[in-house]
Parts: sequence; structure tokens; C-alpha cells
Amino acid sequence: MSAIVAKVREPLIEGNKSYHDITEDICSPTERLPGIAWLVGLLVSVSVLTFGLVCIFITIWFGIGTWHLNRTIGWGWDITNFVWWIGIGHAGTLISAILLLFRQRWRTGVNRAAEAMTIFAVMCAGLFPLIHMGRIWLGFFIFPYPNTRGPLWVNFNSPLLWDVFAISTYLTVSLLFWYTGLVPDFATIRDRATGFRKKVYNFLSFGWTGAAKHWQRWENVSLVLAGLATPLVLSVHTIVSFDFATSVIPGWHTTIFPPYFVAGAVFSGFIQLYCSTGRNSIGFSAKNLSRIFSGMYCWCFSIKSRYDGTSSGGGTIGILF
Amino acid sequence: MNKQDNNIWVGVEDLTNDPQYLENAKQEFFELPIVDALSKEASVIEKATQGASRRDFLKYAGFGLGAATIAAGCEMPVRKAIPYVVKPDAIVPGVANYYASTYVRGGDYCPILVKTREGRPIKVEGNTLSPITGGGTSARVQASVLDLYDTARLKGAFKVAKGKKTAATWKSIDEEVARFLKPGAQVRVLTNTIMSPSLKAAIADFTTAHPNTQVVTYDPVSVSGLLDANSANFGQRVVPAYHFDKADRVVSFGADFLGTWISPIQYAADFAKNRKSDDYKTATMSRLYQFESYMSLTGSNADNRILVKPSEMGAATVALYNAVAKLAGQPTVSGSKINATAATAVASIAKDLWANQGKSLVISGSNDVAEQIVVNAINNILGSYGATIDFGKYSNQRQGSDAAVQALIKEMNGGQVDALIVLGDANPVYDLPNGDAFKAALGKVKGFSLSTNGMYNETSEACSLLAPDHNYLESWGDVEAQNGSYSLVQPTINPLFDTRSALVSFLAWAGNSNAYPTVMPAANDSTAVAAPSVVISDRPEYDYLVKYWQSNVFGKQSKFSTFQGFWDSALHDGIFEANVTASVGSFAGDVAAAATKVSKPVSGDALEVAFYESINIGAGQYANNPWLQEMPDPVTRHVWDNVLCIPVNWNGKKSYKSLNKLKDGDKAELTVNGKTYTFAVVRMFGMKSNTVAIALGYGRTVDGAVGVNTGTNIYNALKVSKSGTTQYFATGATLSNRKGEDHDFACVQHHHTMGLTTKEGGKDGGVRKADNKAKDVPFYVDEEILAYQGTLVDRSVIRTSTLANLKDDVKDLVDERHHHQHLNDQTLYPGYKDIYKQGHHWNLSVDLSACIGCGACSVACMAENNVPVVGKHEVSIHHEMSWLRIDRYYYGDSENPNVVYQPLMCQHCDNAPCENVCPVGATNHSSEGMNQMTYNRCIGTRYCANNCPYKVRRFNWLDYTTADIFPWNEPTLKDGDEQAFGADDLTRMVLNPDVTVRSRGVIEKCSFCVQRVQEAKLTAKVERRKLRDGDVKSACQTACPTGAITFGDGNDTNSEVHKKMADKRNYKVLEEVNTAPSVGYWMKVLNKNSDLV
Repeated sequence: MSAIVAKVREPLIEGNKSYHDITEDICSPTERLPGIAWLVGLLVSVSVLTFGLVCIFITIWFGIGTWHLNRTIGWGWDITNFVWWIGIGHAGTLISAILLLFRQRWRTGVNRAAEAMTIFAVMCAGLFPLIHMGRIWLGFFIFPYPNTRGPLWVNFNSPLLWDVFAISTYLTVSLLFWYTGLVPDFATIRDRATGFRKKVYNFLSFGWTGAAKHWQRWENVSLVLAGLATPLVLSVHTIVSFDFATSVIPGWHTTIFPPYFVAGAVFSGFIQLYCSTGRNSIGFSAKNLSRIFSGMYCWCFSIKSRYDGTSSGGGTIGILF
Repeated sequence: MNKQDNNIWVGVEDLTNDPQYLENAKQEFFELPIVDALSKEASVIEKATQGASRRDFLKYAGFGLGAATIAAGCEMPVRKAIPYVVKPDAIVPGVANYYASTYVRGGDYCPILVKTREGRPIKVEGNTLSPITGGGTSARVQASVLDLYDTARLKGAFKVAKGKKTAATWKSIDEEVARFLKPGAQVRVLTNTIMSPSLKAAIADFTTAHPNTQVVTYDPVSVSGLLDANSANFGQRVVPAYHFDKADRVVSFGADFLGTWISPIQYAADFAKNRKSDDYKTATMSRLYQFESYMSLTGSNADNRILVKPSEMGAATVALYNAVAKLAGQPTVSGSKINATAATAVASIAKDLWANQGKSLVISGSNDVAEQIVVNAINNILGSYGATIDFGKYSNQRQGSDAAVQALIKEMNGGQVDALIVLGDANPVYDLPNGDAFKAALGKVKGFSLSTNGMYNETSEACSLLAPDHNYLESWGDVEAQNGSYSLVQPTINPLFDTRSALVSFLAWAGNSNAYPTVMPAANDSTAVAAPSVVISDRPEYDYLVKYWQSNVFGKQSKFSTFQGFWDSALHDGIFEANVTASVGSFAGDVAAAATKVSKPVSGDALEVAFYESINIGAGQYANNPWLQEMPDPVTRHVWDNVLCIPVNWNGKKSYKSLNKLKDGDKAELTVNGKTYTFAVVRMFGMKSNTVAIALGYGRTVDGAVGVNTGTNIYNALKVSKSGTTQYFATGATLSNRKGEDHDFACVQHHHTMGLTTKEGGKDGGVRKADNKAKDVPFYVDEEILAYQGTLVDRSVIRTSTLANLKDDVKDLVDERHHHQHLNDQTLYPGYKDIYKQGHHWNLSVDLSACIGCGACSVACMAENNVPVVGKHEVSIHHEMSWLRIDRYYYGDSENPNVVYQPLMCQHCDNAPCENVCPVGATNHSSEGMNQMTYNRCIGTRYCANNCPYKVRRFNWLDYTTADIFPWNEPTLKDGDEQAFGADDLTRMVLNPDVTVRSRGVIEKCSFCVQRVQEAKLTAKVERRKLRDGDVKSACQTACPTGAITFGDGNDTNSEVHKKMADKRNYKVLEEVNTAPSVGYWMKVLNKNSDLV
């Protein structure tokens, strides 16, 4: 390792590995057949996915009434899940973007997983508002597109519409952030690959050569995107909380919801990240993470518990986390 | 027990701050027992995946996603409409025709206008010309139009053998009848009350042909005792006319005259006349005292309720007689002791009555002759006869005799009956106390037994021939509901099926086959169509009716010189009033003797049961009507079942202590008169402790899919008393502890909570556990704790007052509203008040003092607006669709509370919270102040329903209307049904073509009957005039028997509704939220006797 590391710090990478060793470690999982553990994991995931698809079929075929949702609040796990998944995503963004802004070098151990988790979490989050609709086949009404019905526009006063914009913005920025980070790694794989595989990675890596100018621009873009993503964490979940906070319903109509939602999101997201980075099945082990997480846990918990006690409305929405 | 004079509550948990309930109330998600819910849902899902293999599993999964994707592009199934080849003159497509007719079923009577569209009757309105009902209706009347399109109706004549029916021709039925109707044959005609003079004449014709014919009349829920008492005291076996509008003091001994007793529409209308006043400063009101053991609809509207056990009723009657007689200086009679509270009450009631001689009225719902004689005597002393009771314009609405039908059973058992004709709704096998005995006796009728019921019921099953009558909307007929008050029944549609008027049947069987052809054009009888011997008219009953009126009714008037003129006028108006002189009647009776015969109070703590007629489905004849089944019982608020009403507070013996653990929805076994039944229980406030009450009319075993196995039949627990009349209470019953739970218990009261806040400042969010010292008391109210729903009192949902405090309370209300309005004026957002001041601004006003909670409006709304029926299971998971619900709140003394009913529909807020939040703008505000739903824009996010503070928006959770783009996914109405309600083309004929049928996945709600507003505006435009007040009437308004609802243009300063909204008694629900509703409520005012509190 050529980088200079203070002696008092615990080294981030143990085992006295060279750059070549690390490249090998990172690239080899993509170049060999997956192991049994990975296959078993995939099988389990696909089974659960299939079950989910059947459930979605039943929901769409018979109607959302099969969920036994009712009055006086017509929402249930659909919107709970939506809020929860958005929260999960936020932790991923926070980890990779804030740590980048604060120049935390150990970030590189988890940022890829965190960003990927963000994107999949946002996709899951988008799924639930869709399937909770009474008439999903008309869900496109929610987008403001030019039409021949007048034209008939969406209702810009509705917090649900703000959600649409918030989520799509968030997805876009997260996707860019994630992909930008991937480009140098794609190039590394491209350099080792042959044949068709090489062509694919060639396209994906956008002609990355590892030139100093590339690295400089890459650093700039990463910083800009991280700077964009960080406030999004606050704004997106704030807007999600507006679904409740701007209503007139007792228990929902409360100003504490925006910070409450953000704190809750980060809280649950870190735990999800902690779980999903136990990547032993592909040969990595997470280190140093538990220390980070315990710190975050304490911070979020203190915010959350502060409002649990005093806000009766908080209890109402507490189920969302 | 603590008094909660200022508090309002809806149930036990609410009043007692049950920790679990409060916890649940805090969660906006209603928790279901998950395992049960899954097993229920399985029935829906299994259908689609029945016998599914693993391969199918994947197929379904793949197909499902594919189908959902493609569905957006799918076309709706094509349904062809065939236009007229030759257009009938009277029918303009899109324009409704109204025909005056009369709703009549047994003793139920209501003059109506039938709205027809393109030849189909689709809605019933009250006939405002009627001096009896004044245009009011009831829930049963409103729902009756659905019976016409009942798929379970008999579609022709049948022969029945061993409980199996086979289709038969009318000719073969007539031949079979003729075969047994030999000269001298003993024929019995068993019927419920008949009010039709022409049908009676036809039966008389039949009797002439077969002289040994006897007509036996009975009523399933009988007032035989009243009739017999009047026969003894006045020589007239009739129900006299009661003038509730002239009575300033009314005492009712268990008579539910606003709900079910004899002529509830008329009584409610008259009663309300004396409860309303235009100016609160000079307001006067009648006062109603109700003696009863359970909370009846009438009792819930009473000013003072006096709790007595069912067995104490007779003694209470005698006690009142003695108290009144003492004041009048007349000799008293010996009577039994009644409970101390009631005894004190009787004394002050007597004083009150005595001070209002000639303006008071005492009635009794008891079926005991002796009790009715005592009541007659009280009325006699008070001078009610001639003042509030009239024997001249007596009612024909109950004529039955309990003794006669019992005698008939003996005759049949003795083999003395050759033929039995069961007429109309009479269903003795089901609704007699000894229905089984009747069924057994029916087997001993020598010749034939025939039923003319249009439905296949328990009695039809035991008969040998079925000759179904028309539905009343297909018939010609007449009614004389009260002496001299005639009305006509005219058909509004050709008979849908091969049925035949009962009147024609009698004429045919009388041997009049030439004059009145026995053959109706019958699809299954080609010879009959080909060669009817003599055809006078295709409607022989019409000819008979006209002839009857010409010779019997025409002479009773002098206005018209020609019969044609008279007939046309009567047919147009639907009614004809002959002059009848009032008759005071002279009372002659032995009170002392009667007083010894009244029921004796059963001492001790034995459990007593009160049986009452269901307000929804009557004595059981309406059981197959899904609109009525889905209408919540006004007091208990449950649907699709008869639940056992138990007191909140059991006391007395130790054995009752465990019953305190019974909760709403628990099942328990009731043993009464040696028979055991299992019921779900509901704890009812204002019940005498150690008594229970249960509705009759449920648990039909042979009926359409809707009525069968809904609830439990309890008729066979009734007993015939010593005097030969059916007794509607039982003593010495026992109730078991909890025996499981009714998982589909469907009680709608808690489905729409409007008060979700706790009182501020309380620890633990205002929730506190019940005090330990209350251990022995089943519920305990700590005055410091403000109950959950009880905090409604802090939100402006219900406002009440009494006549004595009215001025002060009005002042408080005005101050409170000023305060709210001042706060609301501080809003940062721009208002649109100036815009709404222009043009029309539709308002609706409800007078809570006039509203009796009968439910007519909610059924009328279902009929007018194509509101789907969802069935018991769906209601139990809060999926009911009613646009107009009637909330029931208790207030006052928690042991004997008063009740206020609040019809709640969309409030059409000018600052509507629902409109803001819809992402696609599917709900928006019209320039006339209406909150509108655009169904085809709605994508079903349900955000509007969440954000509605009044909880009046309804979501189509499943495909309730079969209007979905996916077929075969409708929920069934009841478990085991093949088809969803309304899925068939016949039932869909009742749909109002002016109102969209909503598909699955969209929100719907009260539209202020926008289609009626639109129609009236167009009519005014065509007539080149301005819209006048009264041009538009909402469906709920026209249905209301008491005139509690007013709809109109609030911007028109001369309109009725404007005056109502400007009145100081008017308030708006949740005005502090600044939603600016268009619906106003007048505070509920009672006229309590302060001596009795």
C-alpha cells in the first residue's frame, strides 16, 4: 500500500495486500461461476419474489379490498411500505454521499452496496403506491403529460403529486451517483475481459482510460452529485411526511413529521444496510461497520425517542417504522 | 351510576375508557383477527385457484401480471341496447314518468309515486297529496322497488310435492283447484290483514260460490289484544285513529309507534309536527314518555324513558290508571307493585297528563287484552276520545286475530278443512309461535293447500299448489287503509313473470271463468294463448276494480258527476278521501276486572326476554331484500343479523356477574321457554338490567339467497297467553356465558369515528385505566377522564338542548360559532366566498329534533344513487358503501341515556380537504358549491377518504357492482352464494340510468343528488323561468317521514333552506376545522319532564 496512513489508526485493509491483490479480489467474483451459497440465496430470493408476484396478481385481479384495508384510513401496509423503503434508501445515500463529502476513506468499503441498496429501495418504494391504487391501469394519470383531455393536468396542490416528483428526482440522482462511481470499476473489468464481455464493459465504462483528467472530472462529478444527494435525503422524506402532515386528520396534522420521518428513515436504513452488507456469500467480510452503525443508531434513537414521549400524533405514525 | 350530562358516547368501551379500545382508537388501522381474515379471504381466492397445481401457480402469476398490463388497453364488454321499433307515446327516453300508486303489504301502507324510466319502475317517492302520510315513506317502502326485480320470485305456477316444486300451467292449477272445490267443500282462506276492498269483494264472490268458505286473518306481529279490547269497550274491533299531532303528552307502554307499530309513517309524521317550531323563542313541544325494557326506536326518541321489565308492563299500566283515577276522583283498582323508579315516575306522569286533559294520549304496544282495556280506561278518564283518538276514521291496518289462526290449526288437525288458500305474505309455518304445528296440520288438509305468495317460502314448501300473485308494482288494486281513505294501486310495468293477480284467481275459482278468463297469456301454455274463451280485457282485475269503484266508492263523493271523471281524478292523485264523521266512541268496560288479569311482575332477578319486530325486515316478509338487510338497525347499528340486546349493566344475583364479561360480538346461548338459541350479543344502553331483547323476522329457512339463514328465527320461542293472544315477552329465560365469537359481527357504529383526539393535558395521552374501586361495577365513569369518542363533545359534532334551557343553549351555540368563525377568519389562504355567493349555492339542513333515525333516507339514497350492497362479511370489515349514514350517539344519564341520531352525508365543504389532496384532480368543487366526484378520472389512491374529517367517502374495495373490466371477480353477498348481488340482468333493471354505476377502485360519495338538480335546472330552462325553491328535492328529503331534511339553494334568501341555515339553532359539524360545510344541523331539543330526571 502506498497511501500514507497514520500509525495510530487501524489500517482499513489488513493482510498487507497489494493493488493487484485488491483488483483480483474485486473482479474475480464477476469472472467465475457463482458459488453454492449465492445460488441458494438466489433461489430463496426468487421464491419470495414469485410469492410476491402472486400476491400482486390477487391484489390487481380482485382489488385492493383483498387486503382488508378499511376506514377510517384507507391506507395500510401499502403506504407503510412505501415510506419504509424510501427510508431505507436514504441511509444508503447518506452513507455514501455524506461520507464522501467528509472525505471518509473507509467509505469505499460500503458505498457501492449502499448506493445499490438505495436504488432498489426506491424502486420498491415506487411499487407500493402503484399497486395500492384502486385502478392501477390508469396510474399514468398521475404524470403531468400533454394530453387531449382539455388538456387536463394533475393537481399540483396534492402532496401525493409532490411525492411523484420527489421520488423521481431522488431516483434520478441516486442512479447517476451510483453509475458514476461504477465507471472506473467497469473499466477495470473491461481491461481484464475478452470477447463479447469486453464489448459490453467497453460500452458501460464510457471509454474510461484512467487518465488523470478522467480521475479529476470523476472526482468533481462525484462531489457535485454527493452534494445534490445529501439535501435530497432531507427533502424527499420531508415531502413524504407531507402526505400526513398537511392533512386535517387529528394525529396526522402535526409539524413534527418532517424531522421525525427523516430521523426514522436514517435509523431503519442503516440497519438494513448492516444486514445487506453481510456479503460473505461472495467472499467479502464487512469490517469497521459495526462501529459506525452503533454511533448512527444512538443518534437516531435519541431523536426518535424524544418525540415518542410527547407527541400523541407520533404514536399514530410510529407504525410506519 | 355517574351522570354524564355533557358527554356523548357511542358504546360501552367508549364510555368506560376501555384501555384496549382507546389503544385501538388511537391506531387508525382497524385490527382484524388475522387468521380468521385469511380463512375468509380464502373463499374468494380459492375460487380462482381451485384445484390449482404447482404449474397453475406459475401460470396464474404470469397471466396476472400480463392481464393487468393488457387490461388498460382492453375494451369493456359490449352490451347491446335495442332501441324501440315503435316508440310508445308516453315514453321519452331519458325522461322519467311518475305514476301515483300505493305501496301495500299486509298492514304496511304508503301512498306513493312510482318513478319509471323507459318503462321500468326504479324509485318510489311518497305521495304528498296523502293526508295520512303527507309524502313520507319508510325504509321498507323505499326498498320495495327492489322486490320487483328479485330473482327468487316465482316465475309461474307450480305444484309442490314433498317439498319439491315442479312448474305447472295455470290451467292445470285451476283444474286441480276445481277438482277439490266440490259443493259444500270446507275452504279456509288464511291471510294477513287485507286492506283492499275489491279483493275482499272478490273473496266474497268466491264465498258465494263456495258457501263454506271462511276467511282467517292474522298478523305475524299481532295487535290482537288492542283489537279485542276495543271490541269489548267500544263494540268496534278496529284500531282507532291516533292523532299524535294533537297530543301534547304521549305515554307509550312499549309501543314502537315510530318504528313498527301499526302505521309508523303516519305516526312519525304526526308526532314530528308537534315537535318542530319555526322560532326557538316561542317553541313548544309535545312530550313523550316511553315505558319499555329495551331501547326501541320510539324509546330512543322519547323525552323520558321509564325502564320496566316486560312482565311489569301490565302493572305499570294499572299504576298509571290508579294515579290518574286518583287525580280524577275516581275509584282505583288493585294493582301489583312495580320498581321504585317507575313508581315515582308514574306519579309525576299522571300529574302531567291530568294537567293536559284532552291533549294527551296513552297507547300500549302490549298484545294483552286486559292491558289494552286499562289503557282505554286511562284515555277515557283523560278525555282523549274525540280529542286525540277518533273511532270514525279508524284504521284497517291491523285486523288479525290470534285466536282465529289457532282455531284453524285445530280444525285442520281435525280433518275438517278441505282446502286451504294462503293469501299473500301470510307465512304461518315461519311466523306463528307454533309454526311446526301448523305445518303438521297442513298435511291433514284433505284437498289442496295453495299459496299465492310471489316468493317460495316456508309455507309454500308445505303447500301443494303455488299460484303466485303479481308484485304490487305490476298490479291493479285498491286500499282502504283508514275508514274512508281510499287509494289506488296501478301497475307501472307489465308482469315480469307468468304470475296472476290473486283477485283474478279468486274470481276464476269462483267459477267465473267466462267473465274472467282463467288463462293469462302464459309462455308455457300455448293452448291458453291460442284460445281464451272470452277476453274482456287483458287485465280482468282492472275491470273488476273499476266496477267495484263504480258501484261502491263513486257514491261517496259529490264532486264529480260522471264516474269517468271521478276515476281519472282518483287515479291521477292516487288517493280519494271520502267524508267520514268523527266518532268519539263510548267507553264501556270493567277496569277492575281487567286490572286483575294483566301480567303479573315476576319478582326476583329472573331473566326476561322482550321480542320486537325488526325495523328493517319487519316480521320476516322483507328478509330477501338486500337493501333492508344492509340498512343498519337504527339503535343497535348492526346489519344482516338479529343480535341479542343485553344490558350494559347486570345486577342482582351472583349468577349474572359473569355475564358482565360479554362483549359486543360474543356469542351466547339464550334458553327461553325450553328452547335454546345462539346469538351474537350487543350491549345496549338504556336496557332494564336482567332483561334481554331480540328482533323477530330473521332466520328464514326457505327464501331467496339473501334472506335464507340470515340471523336466527325466534318466533317459536313465543307463547300464546291465557287470553289467547301471542305474548311478546318471556320470563324465566337463561343466558349462557360466552360461547365463542361472531367473526362477521357487523356493527357499523364504530366505522366512522370523527373524534380522534384525546383531551389535552392528560397523562398517557389522556388514557387512564379504570379505577380499581370500580371492580364490582361493570363499568365505571371517572368524571375527570374524558372518553375518546366522548371528546366529540369538544368537537362540534353533536349539540343538544332541552326546551327549558333552549334560549341559554342557543346563546352558547351562537357564541361558540362566533368563536370558531373568528378563528377561521385568521386563515392565510384566500377564500372563495364571493364566488359562492353568486348563482346557486346548494345547502342541506337537517333538524336533529325532527329526525327519528328511521333509516328511510339511507335506503332512498341507495335506491336513487345505485349504491351497491356488499354483504355481511364486507360490512364486518368496514366496507359498507352507504352514502348517507345515520350515526347514533348517547348522551345524558349513562344508565338511561337519551339518543341523538345524526344523518351524515357528504358535507360539500367549500374548503374541502378532499379536493386538495387528490393527485389527479378527480374531485373538485362546482361553482354551485357542490363537491363533485369524477369517477372516470379517479385512480383510487383513497387520499381524499383519509383526509375527510367526516368520513363520508366510500371506496369500491372490490367489484361490488360487476361494472369492472375484469369479470368473475365479484365478492359474494353471503358465504356460499354463487353470484354477487346485482350481477344478474334482472336486478340491474332497478338501476337509475341517471347515475353512473361505479366500478371497482374508485371513490364515491353523496353527490347532493346532482342528477336531480340538473334535471330541475333543465326543466326550468325549458319553461323559461328561474329555478324555484322546492324544484329540487334530494332523495333523502323526499323519503323523510318527519320532514327533517331540507335541500335547496342557500343563496336564495326566500328559500326554506336559507331560513334554516340562518336560524340560531343551526350549527355546522366540525366548524372549527374551517371546512365550510354546506350542510347544517339544528340542535337536538328534548322536552324533558324535570321531575323525572
